[in-house]
Amino acid sequence: MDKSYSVVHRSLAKIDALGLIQGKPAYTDDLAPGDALVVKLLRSPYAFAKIKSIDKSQALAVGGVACILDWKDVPRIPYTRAGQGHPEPSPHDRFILDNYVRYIGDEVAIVAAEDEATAEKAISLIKVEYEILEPLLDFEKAIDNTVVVHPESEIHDMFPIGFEPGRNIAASYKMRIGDVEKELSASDVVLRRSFFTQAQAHVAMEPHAAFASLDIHGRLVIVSSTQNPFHTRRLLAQSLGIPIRDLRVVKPRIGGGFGGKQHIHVEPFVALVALATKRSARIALTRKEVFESTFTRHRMRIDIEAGANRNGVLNVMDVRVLSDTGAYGEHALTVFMVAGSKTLPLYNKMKAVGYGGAVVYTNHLSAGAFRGYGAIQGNFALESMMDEIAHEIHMDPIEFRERNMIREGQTSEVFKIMGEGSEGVEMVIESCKLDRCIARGRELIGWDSKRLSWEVSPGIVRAHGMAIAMQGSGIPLVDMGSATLELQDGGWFKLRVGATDLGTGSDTILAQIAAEALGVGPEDIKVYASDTDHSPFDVGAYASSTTYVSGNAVLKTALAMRKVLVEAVAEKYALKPECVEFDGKNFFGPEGAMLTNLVDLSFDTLYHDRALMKTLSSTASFTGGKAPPPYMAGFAEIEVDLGTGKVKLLRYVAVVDCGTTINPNLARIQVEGGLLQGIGMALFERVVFGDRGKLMTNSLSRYAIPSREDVGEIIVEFAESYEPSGPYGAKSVGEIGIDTPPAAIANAIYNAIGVRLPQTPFTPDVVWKAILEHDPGPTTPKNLRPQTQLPR
Amino acid sequence: MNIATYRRPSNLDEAYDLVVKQGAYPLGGGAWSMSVGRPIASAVDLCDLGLRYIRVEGKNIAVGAMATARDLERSSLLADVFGPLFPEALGGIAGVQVRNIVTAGGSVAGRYGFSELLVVLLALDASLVFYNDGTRPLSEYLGAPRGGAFLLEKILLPLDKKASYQGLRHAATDFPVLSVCACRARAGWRIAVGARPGVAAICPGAGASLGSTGSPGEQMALEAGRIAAGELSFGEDLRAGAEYRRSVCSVLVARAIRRISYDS
Amino acid sequence: MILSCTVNKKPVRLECEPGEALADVLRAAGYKEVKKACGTGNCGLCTILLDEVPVASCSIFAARAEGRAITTIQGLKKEAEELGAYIAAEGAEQCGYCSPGFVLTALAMEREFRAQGMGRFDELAARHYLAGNLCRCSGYQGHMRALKKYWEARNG
Ligand SMILES: Cc1cc2nc3c(=O)[nH]c(=O)nc-3n(C[C@H](O)[C@H](O)[C@H](O)COP(=O)(O)OP(=O)(O)OC[C@H]3O[C@@H](n4cnc5c(N)ncnc54)[C@H](O)[C@@H]3O)c2cc1C
Ligand code: FES
Ligand code: FES
Repeated sequence: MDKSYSVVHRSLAKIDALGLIQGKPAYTDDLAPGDALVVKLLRSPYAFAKIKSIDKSQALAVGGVACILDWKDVPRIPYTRAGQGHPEPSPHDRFILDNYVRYIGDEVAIVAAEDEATAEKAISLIKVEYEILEPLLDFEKAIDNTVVVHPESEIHDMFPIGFEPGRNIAASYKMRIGDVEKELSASDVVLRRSFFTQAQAHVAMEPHAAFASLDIHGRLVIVSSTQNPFHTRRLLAQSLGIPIRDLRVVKPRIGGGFGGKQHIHVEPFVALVALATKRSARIALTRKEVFESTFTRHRMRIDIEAGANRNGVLNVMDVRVLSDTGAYGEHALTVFMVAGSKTLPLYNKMKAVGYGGAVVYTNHLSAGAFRGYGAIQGNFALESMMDEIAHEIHMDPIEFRERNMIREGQTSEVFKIMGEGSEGVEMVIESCKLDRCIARGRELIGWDSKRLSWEVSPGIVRAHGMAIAMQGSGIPLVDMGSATLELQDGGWFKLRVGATDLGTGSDTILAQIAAEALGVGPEDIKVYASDTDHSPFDVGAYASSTTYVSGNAVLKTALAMRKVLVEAVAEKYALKPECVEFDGKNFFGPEGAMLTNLVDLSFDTLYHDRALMKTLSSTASFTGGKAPPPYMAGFAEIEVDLGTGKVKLLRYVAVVDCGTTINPNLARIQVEGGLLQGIGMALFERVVFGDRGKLMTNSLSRYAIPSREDVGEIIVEFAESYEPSGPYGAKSVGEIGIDTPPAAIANAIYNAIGVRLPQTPFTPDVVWKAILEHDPGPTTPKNLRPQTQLPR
Repeated sequence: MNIATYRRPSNLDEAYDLVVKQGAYPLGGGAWSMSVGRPIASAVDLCDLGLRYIRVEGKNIAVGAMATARDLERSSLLADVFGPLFPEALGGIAGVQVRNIVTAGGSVAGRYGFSELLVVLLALDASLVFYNDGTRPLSEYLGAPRGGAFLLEKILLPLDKKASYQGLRHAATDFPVLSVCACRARAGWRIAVGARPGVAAICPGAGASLGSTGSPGEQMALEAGRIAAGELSFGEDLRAGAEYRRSVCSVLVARAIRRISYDS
Repeated sequence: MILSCTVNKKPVRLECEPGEALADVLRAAGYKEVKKACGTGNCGLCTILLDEVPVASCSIFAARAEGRAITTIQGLKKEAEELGAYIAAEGAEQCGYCSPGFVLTALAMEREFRAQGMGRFDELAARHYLAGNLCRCSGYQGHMRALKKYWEARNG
């Protein structure tokens, strides 16, 4: 393990930071051509309806309207919007436009006009006659309901995922390790609990946007705020029925993704308009559209039955999950799988584990990928359960976890059995500092087993709670990333990657990895990324893959580039390559004799030396054989106002093992940002649907995300490990931060008021109700009687 | 927001003529009107009428209709008289960039249920001065059904009262779940509650229960809270249900009362 | 209508509808540094200075700007660069979409705090002042670290 790095493991500023801070035009909608047609969508006002007729005549008569397309005008090819590898584990269960609408906000018609006002006017003049159908809105009643969300016959899965649309099942799964029933009956303590999580909204600050035009060859060029340009190109070609070669997808800077842009949302609409009118076409969703018509986190009900012995041995868990995918099945199976596969291995000593359930269709807006990707839902249930068991057997929750959790050098059978879309891969954990994460975290928060809650003044109680988590680093054997390096005149390098920087700073850390491997300064690496015509292939930014998968690809490419450089010099001086040394600037021969330098080499190979003239370049790809998990421990210190039920988060401590931090500042901000989204899910972000299926929380006035006043101190530290399979020992850090807050805060609330909250978010009214209904028994920390002990 | 005709008169008579006689739509800060987004046939912008002030007028403080939330929050005059009341009550309205836009007049004229300002003004027993249409107590205005057009010129606050505010929100910049203001004057107490989610209302029983005592004890404060919760109606919205609001009302009323008792 | 005002000290005449959001008018006129994320006054991304005061340009109708001075982040290049350097050094910004509005509000805050004679950086006061500037990426901690260092370097 060589830790004397010069470029990696250093907090360099993000290469695009200053430009973005000054507001330089860099995002999709900033770049759209001024003369592009404005595209707007007519959306369904009903949760479930069949379109009987559409009359566009009045709308088309409005001056400045360029085209209006409805379901009859677009290709009828079943596809999925999920940005996933091929073949997609998501069912092909939608059409660009259909004669059925399946949620309030589903697309009915595409309108293109010279300006926004005209497009909106035209939309108001389209007459649609609907046959309103009874919607299916309760996901717990979806299976075998008389209402069938997807009656159409053409839809299909790409490989078996348990897809049974006739029963409203988008995907299903079941696995067992060991004898679950036997272990349950042999346990001293058996608990059975249900947990619920909500359809959290991503709220990336940049709304989804795209523009399309035809280039001089008639090829369709799409500029889009996407997390996965290559998947977008493939899915779009398939849905439009055109060859992939006729498409180019470019991603400029993105204003946040978090999984919300790991789908195609708006690209087909601008593409169709550009094809129909031969003009440029742009679309930018309004915030209301983003809320109502892009994806959310999968709502889940998670039932756990767990058995443990009084001595602190966790024997068995049987987990049943019901996941609501809404109207369409994007990421249905995979998110569901991750709820188990990236949580259950935390406790690898169980003798038996069961996991299974179904992902169901309803007439709510669709769910899709969202940071945490099932793991946060699973973690909330699992880590709440761990505290409950610890409480039941009178053991400190940390001690109970430490007795049962995974450690370096160990494995879990779950790794092999459960992957994302199919089987997983066997994996021995080579880097895991979970023990250190916990030890350091408990020190930072001041954990005291005997005093997990205390009253600071009448009716104001403070408490601690904690949870641990794991994630992955890319999807093994599925995710692939590539990079190309090319020496340029003057001695610097062009680094082309398909990896997609969503604002995470991945362009910066990939440049750091290349610079480190080449021995050059970071300023000598110029990154060009995410353009399907000019970047080598990469699956895109999701599943915490960029540092590990794309980073490894860059590392391989840079090491290959070193070889190419040395070989070129060796050739020039008629030496064996083994005899040439390169220190990042100069090349040396035997006995340290100076041969040439990088600048001269670049001019020689490009202009001067006829015998040598060529482009010096290298390309390499990487696919992980495993997905080494990052780990973390999260600790919450909260204050509950027993009079109002308001929970204040005073402190959150996170200690993270993500291997080597390639850029410690950027790693830290990833964790801090993830934590805040997890905190939002735990305390603030309430999703409300109306009786007819309308999303009521459809603006930032109605759906509150945490502001900087809503969180106290957040302390992030790293318990660094070295992951041998990662670039310079790195694992991933993009998602892990989001996972612990719901459980850690729920556990803290339990410690404060003696009530287990099984459903997020823990808004004041919910906590208040729990306090009221609580019968303070002998085991509660304090006899809390809010009516008699009125707080100030 | 679609505005067909836009005018910006420079004197009150002209504005009065347009708004009250011709039925045009007055624009205060316009932030709320923007977010509601209803088309406006004829808009009258009140920004050039000299109505943005906070000053002493006789026995009152006069707040011009165009004073912004942030003007109220930062006014040293209001701070001298009422302490931290205004920053505490209004500081949670979105961010500074919105509080720099929204006006006292718009909040009063809109009669919004969520308005903290109305809760404070009602507790202080403020009066409204309507241009050319006399002066009326705020309580009377809120009690009457929404009527014809008017041009609110200013709001009059008494100089001789103490009040304290207590509110509850989910996130810091979200709309309130409940807001309470308790005001103590020589004549007695006035307690107002808003975001029920209905518009601010007075709790006469709770106020009366405190009599004219300056520093009610713990038990009296709790009792007043319970009375207040019992005498008002509460409802449900996206943020909370009626029973929760009722319960929080008793807690916050007691806290608001206690707060002034201790402060004095 | 034709809106006459100054943008970053330059007199301009912008074609617009009186009731249009000022943010939309500015973006259409090419001031792409004005971002828009909510359109309802909740996020602060569209913040500009109107006569030196920060306002949410999505929540103010265009006609209100007639005859007034608009400042976008591009009008405070030097200051933005200075504060920006601290933000970049801290790695405090992620996607950067919220940065122009945040930096502009932070600069207005600095002026106000100075005018009030604030000595040591008051983090709670800063969090309150900036509460209307939402950020979904960063978790805010880096912002606050950067602001503290910036304040201490300039006012310490
Ligand atoms: C994001 C956001 C969050 C908010 N959060 C809160 C909150 O938490 N608490 C809270 O209390 N408020 C909140 N508000 C509302 C705000 O405080 C104002 O009440 C609201 O915006 C109205 O003020 P305005 O100046 O924008 O009114 P305008 O939109 O200008 O006017 C509102 C109404 O009053 C009429 N009107 C305006 N001035 C006069 C006058 N002088 N005479 C007669 N009629 C007049 C108008 O015709 C219109 O009908 C929020 C607003 C926004 C945008
Ligand atoms: S876009 Fe103006 S405040 Fe959000
Ligand atoms: S950095 Fe992305 S919203 Fe703030």
